Amino acid sequence: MSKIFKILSFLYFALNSAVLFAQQRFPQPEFDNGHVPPPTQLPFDQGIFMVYLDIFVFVVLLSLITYFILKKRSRRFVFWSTVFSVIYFGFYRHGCVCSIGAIQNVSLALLDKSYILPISVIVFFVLPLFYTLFFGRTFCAGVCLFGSLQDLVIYKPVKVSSWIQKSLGIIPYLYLSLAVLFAATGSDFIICRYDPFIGFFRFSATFGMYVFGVLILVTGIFIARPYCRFLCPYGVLLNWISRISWWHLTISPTDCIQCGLCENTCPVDAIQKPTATVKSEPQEKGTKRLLLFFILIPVFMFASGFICSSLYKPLSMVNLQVRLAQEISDEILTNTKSASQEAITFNASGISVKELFADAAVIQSKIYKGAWIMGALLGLFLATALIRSSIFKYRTIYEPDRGNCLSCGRCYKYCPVDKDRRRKEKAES
Amino acid sequence: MLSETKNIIRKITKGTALVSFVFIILISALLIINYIQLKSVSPIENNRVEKLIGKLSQNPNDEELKQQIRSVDLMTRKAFFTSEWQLDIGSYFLLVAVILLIASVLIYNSLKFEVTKPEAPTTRIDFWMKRSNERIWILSLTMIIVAFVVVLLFLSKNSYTDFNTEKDGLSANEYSNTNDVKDQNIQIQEILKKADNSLVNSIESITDVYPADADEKDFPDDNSILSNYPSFRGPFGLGVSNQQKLPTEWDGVSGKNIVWKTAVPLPGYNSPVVWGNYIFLSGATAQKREVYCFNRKNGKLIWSRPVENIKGSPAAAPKVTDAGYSASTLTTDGKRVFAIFANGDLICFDFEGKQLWAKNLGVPDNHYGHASSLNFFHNLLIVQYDQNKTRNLLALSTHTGNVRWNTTRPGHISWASPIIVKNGNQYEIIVNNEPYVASYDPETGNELWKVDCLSGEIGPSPAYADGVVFAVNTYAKLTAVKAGNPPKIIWENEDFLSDVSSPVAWKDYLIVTTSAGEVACYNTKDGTLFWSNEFDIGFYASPIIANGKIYMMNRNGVMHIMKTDKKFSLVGVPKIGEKSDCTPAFANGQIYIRGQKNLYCVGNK
Repeated sequence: MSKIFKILSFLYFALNSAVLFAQQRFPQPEFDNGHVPPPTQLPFDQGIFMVYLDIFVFVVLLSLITYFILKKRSRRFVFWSTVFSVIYFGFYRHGCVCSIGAIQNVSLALLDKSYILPISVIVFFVLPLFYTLFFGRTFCAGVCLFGSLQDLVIYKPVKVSSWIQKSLGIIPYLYLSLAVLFAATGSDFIICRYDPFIGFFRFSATFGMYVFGVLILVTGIFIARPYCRFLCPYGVLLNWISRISWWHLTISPTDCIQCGLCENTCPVDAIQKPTATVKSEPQEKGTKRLLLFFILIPVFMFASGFICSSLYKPLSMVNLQVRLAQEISDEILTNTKSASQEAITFNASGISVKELFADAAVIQSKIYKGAWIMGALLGLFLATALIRSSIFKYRTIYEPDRGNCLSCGRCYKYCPVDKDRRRKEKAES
Repeated sequence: MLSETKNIIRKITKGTALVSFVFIILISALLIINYIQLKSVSPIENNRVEKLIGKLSQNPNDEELKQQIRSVDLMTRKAFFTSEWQLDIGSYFLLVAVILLIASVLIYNSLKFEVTKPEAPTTRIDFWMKRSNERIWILSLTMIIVAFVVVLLFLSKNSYTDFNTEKDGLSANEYSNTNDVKDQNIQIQEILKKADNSLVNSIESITDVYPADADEKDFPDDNSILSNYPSFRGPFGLGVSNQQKLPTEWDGVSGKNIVWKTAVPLPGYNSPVVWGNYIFLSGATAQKREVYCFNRKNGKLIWSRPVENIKGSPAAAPKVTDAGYSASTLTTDGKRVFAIFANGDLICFDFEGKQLWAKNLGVPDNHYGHASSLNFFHNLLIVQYDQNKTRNLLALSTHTGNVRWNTTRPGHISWASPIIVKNGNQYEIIVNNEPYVASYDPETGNELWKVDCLSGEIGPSPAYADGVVFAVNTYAKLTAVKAGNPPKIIWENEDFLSDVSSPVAWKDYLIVTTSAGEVACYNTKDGTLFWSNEFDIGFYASPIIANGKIYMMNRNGVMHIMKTDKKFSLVGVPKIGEKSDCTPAFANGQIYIRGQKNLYCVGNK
């Protein structure tokens, strides 16, 4: 054991000592007025150690919260987990890496073979999906930094009508599609660029992003977790997987007595009521509608693909290279002088306009194809959403909507069965 | 009892939450005001300071104004950094207040437990109505998004260029390799055509190549060139003069060994060139350009000619920075003198001051200003015309100005000057460029060889001795290349690298001077350092070897004369008493130095 420790210590210090031998790229200027520049401060290279520490903390926290939600049914642990997550992943690690942003790295790695996916990104992306598949969205409950921060500001959550929820539920799909499209084509990481909370953790953001972040948090006081429900692209993936999760949180620890006390306790409106009293639609009407939506799937896919692909020119403006090509193109057409630093640098680079346009063409071509795929998938999502809202599920008890439930555990204490369980446990102990 | 405690805690937390909330509102307002203030105060772009600097340029010796500028600048910076500090501290206060508010609210809430009354069981109508509403709203939102997209498409119809020719059946590879983009994409075709035009526009007048006329055989032989000082850094631009009995002591202030001193009308960084009894210089401002001919014997101005009314010359001078408007040194073939300026004007006079020909090569796209000096080979005027967009090496008839050849070179812009060498029986034009040093056949302009060894913004010209070319630039390296095809790098060194002044090589000695004041003498054969020395003031003027000595003038106009030896041996440090960045000229046993304002002739009295 001691030998292993020594080897690991040696490796750690050997890897981190590289910085000591680093040389300055440019020599320091010499001042005529006698000013002596202060010695260069080399920051302590935390690199590899912090990567593994992050992974360790992430795995432990996710495992603990899953255990406490499903086994111990403890809301208190979830609360402290949110606090810890905000402090550690937020203020200490400045919100990077996060699972939501990792979507982009993974997308880029899938299409760009030269891009090497860091191990922390792999863990942060895959592990929550894996846990969700088995245990539901315990990651969202108190490990996800975005979710945790919003969870802490929930004060008086109001009930959001199902039509608002369902219609606004399209936005995360759109956001996910765009994020994947831009990341896969190497254009931009829009999830990171428009991260509403990173400014709080780093004390640095544009004014617009601060306003966006504050708006989400203020909204979150009354409409619980607005980012998670109406924006989060990673939530789309977790939502799908959670629907088939093997062991999901239940409101009642044993059999539901249908008292209805939990009915309005969920801040994200993810408690489904019993449908035993609902009479089903006339079969013919329901079948016809379902059939229509099934027939419309390819139509939706094609129409949506067509619309998205026709947007490839404005979409490709997200890419720096295309933006530069556009600026140079405008410059040539209008016979004006380059204004931006990028254009001035390009003009000084000696690269021909034809080369720049060829690069822009490659990116535009990728975005054009990507937009077709993205549009087709969005069409599929739309048709699926319509089909889902046309299906009747027979339900005799109050139970969480597996896709939308964020496993926060707020419903536990309202359940008399759970209360009884806790009383018994207390008495036994 | 427990209930009482709970009530007290609830009251405390309620109060804390209220105070925190008020505090948050207040500090947020203050932070926003501070943020707006911070955005409006830029320590770099300060109008007041800029106005004062403008005033100072009219009255440069006003010490009170200088002090005022310093005070205003300091005040602006202080204001900026204080605001930044306040923003930082305020953010922490805000964070603490938010934490307090959240904690208070959470505690407050945890102490009350309310169970709401369940709703009535879902009825059939409720359920299906809700589902129907959901579908309507999903479709409605989709339609809103689609409408938004359609409007966006309509508005952006003509705003974006379609680079994607692959969609039209042309692959990216074909796209980048073909000269004629297929008809399917007319828009791109038009832009590229226009781009090509704009690229060649600057050298439009020199794209046509003319054959030489029979009567253009008139040019000086090598001996005549060697006994004069016709180009930047002397004969062939090599930095070596065959002059003897040169002075090693002079003083511009007392007049010791100063044969004459003449004011030069307009400023310029170009160096004097000498042929027989004539010394040539040029000067320019943004408004006017002039060429001067001085009498070598007494320094009197023989003629001064304005450079104007040249076809294609721009109405306004281009924006230049460090190099000024006439950094390029003239060249003379003994009968004609040639000058080039920052606006692309190229002009030729005879020794009587009669304009023989003139043309504009197009306004150079050059962020510092065009600085490459002219040179000539036989009856060809050699112009290194490097721009950000194109890099051309041109040979023009010295008699007519017609282009004999025009070689477009890859790489990036440089400010170096071409040198002419005779390697065995082959004359070569050697040119420094980013990222290479290359050789061209002066008869045809064809590339003979090329070595990638340079990087950055190339100022120094190459040096040459005994078949070896030396190329150097700061942030790159000093490289010795055995000329020939293929060329061979024989040694490299990174210790002393010049950025403005050019190195000089003679026999076994290679001298490098830097703008930081360093001087190094290398063995040309293997790159070993014979000696190095560091002076207080840097060198912009290039070192010249003459009479077995090295003449290096620093930026204060102080000449450092050293023996060309394996050991450091300083002979003298005479000065002209005026700042100078120009390389001195050596002819008739005298040295001609251009200061900031005057031209000096130094000789043994």
